[in-house]
Amino acid sequence: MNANPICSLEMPDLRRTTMRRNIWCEGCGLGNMQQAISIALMRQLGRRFKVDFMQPAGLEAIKNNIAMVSGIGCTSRMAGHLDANTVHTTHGRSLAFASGLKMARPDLTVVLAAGDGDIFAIGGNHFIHAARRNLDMTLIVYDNRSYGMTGAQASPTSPMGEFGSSAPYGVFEAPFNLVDLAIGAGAGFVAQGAVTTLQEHQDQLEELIAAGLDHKGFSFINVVGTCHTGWGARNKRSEAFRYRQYLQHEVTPVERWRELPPEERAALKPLGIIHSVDRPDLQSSPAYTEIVARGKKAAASLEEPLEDIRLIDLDPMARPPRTSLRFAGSGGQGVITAGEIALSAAVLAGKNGVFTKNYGPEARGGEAYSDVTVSDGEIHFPQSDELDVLVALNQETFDKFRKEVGPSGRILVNSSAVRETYDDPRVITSPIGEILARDVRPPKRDLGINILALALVLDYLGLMSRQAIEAAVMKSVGKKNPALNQKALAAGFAEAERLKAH
Amino acid sequence: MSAKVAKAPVTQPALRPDDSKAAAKIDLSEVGAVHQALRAGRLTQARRTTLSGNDAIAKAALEAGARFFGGYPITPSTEVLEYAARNIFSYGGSYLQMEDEIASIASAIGASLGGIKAFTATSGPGFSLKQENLGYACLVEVPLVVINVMRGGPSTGGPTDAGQSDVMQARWGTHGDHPIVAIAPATVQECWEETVRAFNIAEKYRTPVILLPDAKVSQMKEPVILPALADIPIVNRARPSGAPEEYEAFGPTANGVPLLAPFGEGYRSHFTGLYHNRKGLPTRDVRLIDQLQKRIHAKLNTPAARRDILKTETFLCDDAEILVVAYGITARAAKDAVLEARAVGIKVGLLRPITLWPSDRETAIKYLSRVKRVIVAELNLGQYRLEIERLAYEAAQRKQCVPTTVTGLHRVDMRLISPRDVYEEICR
Repeated sequence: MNANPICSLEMPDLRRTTMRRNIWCEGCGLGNMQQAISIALMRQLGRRFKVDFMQPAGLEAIKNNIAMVSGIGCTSRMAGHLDANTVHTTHGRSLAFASGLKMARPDLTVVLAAGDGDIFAIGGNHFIHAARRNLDMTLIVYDNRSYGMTGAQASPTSPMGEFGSSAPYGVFEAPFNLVDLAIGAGAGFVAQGAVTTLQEHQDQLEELIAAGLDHKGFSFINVVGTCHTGWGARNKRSEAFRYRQYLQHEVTPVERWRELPPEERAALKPLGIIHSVDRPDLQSSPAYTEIVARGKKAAASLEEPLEDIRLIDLDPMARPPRTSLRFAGSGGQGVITAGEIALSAAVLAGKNGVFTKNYGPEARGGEAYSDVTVSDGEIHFPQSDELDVLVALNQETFDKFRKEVGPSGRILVNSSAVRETYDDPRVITSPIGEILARDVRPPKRDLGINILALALVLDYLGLMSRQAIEAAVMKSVGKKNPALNQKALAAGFAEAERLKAH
Repeated sequence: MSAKVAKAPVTQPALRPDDSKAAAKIDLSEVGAVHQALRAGRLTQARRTTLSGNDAIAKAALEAGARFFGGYPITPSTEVLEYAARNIFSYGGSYLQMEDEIASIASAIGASLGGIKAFTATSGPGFSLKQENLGYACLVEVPLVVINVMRGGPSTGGPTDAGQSDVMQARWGTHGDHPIVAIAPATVQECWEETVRAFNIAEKYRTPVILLPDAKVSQMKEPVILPALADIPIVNRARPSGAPEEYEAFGPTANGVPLLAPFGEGYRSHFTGLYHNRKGLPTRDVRLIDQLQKRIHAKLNTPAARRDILKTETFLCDDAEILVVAYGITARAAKDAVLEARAVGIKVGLLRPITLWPSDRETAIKYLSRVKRVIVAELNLGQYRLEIERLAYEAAQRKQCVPTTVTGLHRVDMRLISPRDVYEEICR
């Protein structure tokens, strides 16, 4: 079973019978590559699933398990000719499509056939990241040093000095060193084969692809190949057999290549398994499985409890009164959190609310603010022409937003930081910073100032009950530092009491 | 060797089956579907929470059954990626932060072809980068949801501020005559509801669906009411059940939507961005190409599809003499303005397309042919106004009269259109 059946007339293959005709030129090496892929897949998957590919049922199981993904170009047409689950995607993107597919379906054997322009030029980013990401997939690149389908333009693997239709006077850019590129990007398996006139190279290619399929993780097999009708025609190698012979002079077994001095190495392409390290692929790595488990644990109760809910019909014409508040201060004072908690308190108090944070270039340079609109009814537009309440924790935000407060609005000012209030009649001053230092005594300056100010303003204005405010604070920041936040709340309420009595 | 032995392992995340009971409770084609179900007593229990628009979108995606997210960080949509990263594992799904915007949509398409629901999220510049693969998903008929949080443009523009500048990009961003569905939610509640609906449309019609919240809606927080997981109406793609050798991944069906088999189950097929025949294989047969191109449009234009896809809120439109057309955050300003104008006796209504593309032609024409004046308010220089002008012309042709005047209220300075802006335009 699964002996070398290459010479057998009964040899099955993976060709799609409904798509026999291909676009490849007679003599093109892509047929050799397709055959090597086909045989390697049957052999390796047959072994993996303990099925006999010579039997129809075994072959069927193998075909069902294969997903071939390709991009654009002559090589990428190979997917269509394979009787498997095949996806012929967009130019350069096959590895990205395949990554999603492998994440969704780790059970499938994902194989990619691609050209050098597709993978190393337009898809270069995906190549290095696929190597780094190390999903278990096998990429086989037919490297004919050119764009074949579009008519012999230069590619990132074209040797300097050779000619292409887009390099009429010669290629003047250096090609990639694919081996170093792949290893540097983190590929765990890098091999190179060639399509020449020699059967040993064909046999070797099949072995390399088989080894790549066996490798758990990202495996990359570069296939030194021809394009006699395109690149060859412009470089005196327009005859397929001659081109293949020419390649024989460019390649050497990797074992021999390693022993050569560097300058000789550069002129030759090593054939064989160049780099192979054993490390778990992404999906079976302990790091990934641990993180998945951690994520599952962290998000254990995502479904909120069910409540009995009765909604009353609202008058669509109603324009219920609304209160708009802005919390403003310097970055780090927690004014965004204050706005979020105010919204939460409003909801807990049975009101409706909208929270918007306004972060923009103007808010990044030390100032931050958030807006909350509260109402008993529907809120359509979340902002108001005029603010009803502004809480300004520092001078800058007081100066900046004072003008946006309506004539009957109120401005709660932290007098510990705001020295100049321009005798604005809307201002209510409170030494929030000093109260914080005195009554809450935070370990870090300003920690809890947002909670204190929030409790103070909401309670002072009677916008919602203390219970709702407290519940909202505890729900939001209570877990982190319950004692400090309780103290900040109490201090805020006490100050509200004092101001009300004032 | 028996066929029984010859079976490669197949592991697929379990999908919650379609549930007609849930569909009977909540009709997502209604405006305010969950609230309507509660008011009508079809739903008595639900979940209350407070969410940001982006979190509501990501949460809805996972609750609608999405099990793969391919993402890339970009303001102001990054919270969708962050929410998915935080929570998708606990739903049995997975995510990847891809190397770029192109890869993130590509990975989502790959996952969807593998048989699971997948989505990606981005904003303006990233949406531009995704366009080629979006076209691939249109032609290959891949169920997919793309979240595009709209900011200003062109180019980097104002990354943190709301815009509605991708309306035409959503419609025509990718090359070729492709059909597209694009939905613009206006509230956080709608972010949740419309995301679930987007997945259902994507699955039922084998098509990419774009959710187009503006940055303001996606960044704001509001209280929401969500149904129990079991009450969420969920649609899964139709799968083949016949003999694998007869399966045609692009074959004819009663509703024009071909069946989509997940990989690995014997229904081997080919998927290509080239024009293809019913089997999915490349073709140059002009008759087949014509059929394919027209079918992918026609499948979204059947009466049943229009019922599922189109959605428009009409607010005080019946006796209106002036019609304001607005969507997303701008529609919320328009609603306040309409109410203010009504309070002083001006007969004005609001037409709020929730599904922007395909446009809800019949609903729009019905009102466009009645009113004296139309104001299209949007945070761009008149993208949807073009469509409304076209429909006003069509409405006039039907009635053999002069088209209603369509004026625009546009803003591209990173500020929102306020209720006052709309009110002043109404009073003009």
